Amino acid sequence: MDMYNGGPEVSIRALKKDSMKFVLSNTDLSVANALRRIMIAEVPTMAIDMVEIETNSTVLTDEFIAHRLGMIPLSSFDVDRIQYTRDCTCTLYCPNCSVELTLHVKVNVDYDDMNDPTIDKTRQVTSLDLVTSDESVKPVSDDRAHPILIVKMRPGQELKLKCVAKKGVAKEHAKWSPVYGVSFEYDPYNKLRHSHYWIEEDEKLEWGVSANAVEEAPIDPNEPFDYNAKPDRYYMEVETSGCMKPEDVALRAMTIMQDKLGGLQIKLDDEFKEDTQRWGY
Amino acid sequence: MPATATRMEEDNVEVDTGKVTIVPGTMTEPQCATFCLQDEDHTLGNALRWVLMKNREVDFASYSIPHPSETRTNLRIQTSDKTTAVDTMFKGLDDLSDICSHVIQTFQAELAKGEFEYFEDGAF
Ligand SMILES: [Zn+2]
Repeated sequence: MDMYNGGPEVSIRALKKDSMKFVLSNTDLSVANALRRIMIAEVPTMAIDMVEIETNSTVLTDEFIAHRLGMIPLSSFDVDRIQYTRDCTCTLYCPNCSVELTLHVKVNVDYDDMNDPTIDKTRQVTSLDLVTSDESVKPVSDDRAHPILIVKMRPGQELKLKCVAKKGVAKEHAKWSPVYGVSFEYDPYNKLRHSHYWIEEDEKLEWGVSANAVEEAPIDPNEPFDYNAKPDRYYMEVETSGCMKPEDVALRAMTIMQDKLGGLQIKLDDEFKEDTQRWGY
Repeated sequence: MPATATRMEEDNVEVDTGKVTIVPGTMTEPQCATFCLQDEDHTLGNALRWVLMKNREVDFASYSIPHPSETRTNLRIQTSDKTTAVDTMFKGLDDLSDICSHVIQTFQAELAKGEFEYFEDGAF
């Protein structure tokens, strides 16, 4: 097909372990927005979805802890290997569609230290206390000095539970989103007048231009407004939770889009084979 | 195993994802139709609308989400006499898929080239 003026162009500006800056150009706003929306809500990851609590004598309630566990990002590099439970043959969960993580922390009472106020007896239960059954799916925390806090315990308390992590998408629950943020900007000088700024006195003073403005020519005050102009450069930045590489999130998003389109074609084929025959085409 | 049997019955009534139907009464002739895309939203609706409008044979293409709590999108297409709404829809899906392939290719080429600031860790 004709790719509409050579097709979209991608230029990566910066890449690091959990974020990426890139410029998508020569395509429509709807395509760039589709990429943004899929990265946020439709790229599958792993997250804790079921928690079976055996003992909980901490100050937090069972559901409070279950909710906190769900929010912990889990490494999802190998998520394609795992099935969605709805597509699986099992009834509740199995190794094909889930990963089990366990946690057992009991803080013993040390009677010698009990009355010494200088000793901090608080035990911080963190993501490091979760023991995974699958090394490819474990809490994201490279920085062992700053793991994710789940609950604080005092001597004599105990927490014992089993978590079941499942594959899912953020369309169902935000905990499955691979990204913490996707920034998206076009037309930094507002030449297209898509933005309507609230101005007190002076627009230029009150609304500075963004960092992306260096990529584009500033407004020529003598140039008339071009009402036919359309956006065609999109400045995007993806920041992941650490569960996947940012470049993989973007690439996966595009393949998900293709999968959706392919799926629709198959369904359309099934649905309208008869119709087109009836119409004689 | 009664438990398994119940589960299988449940599976049979599961909502068919990615389903496409025609909204009854909207295909008065082959050149026009309103497609109902189950489980799709602005993500596909808007991009597909754009790619359809790029097609010279398309006289009208538009999408709407009739109700915010129902996960479906309606897509209306009207074409010239040279083609049909269904064929146009096929072409639209193909074209958008080609654009996606192109983005993937250019993205991978760009990654391979490595002409960007790379940080193993730390701030930008
Ligand atoms: Zn299973």
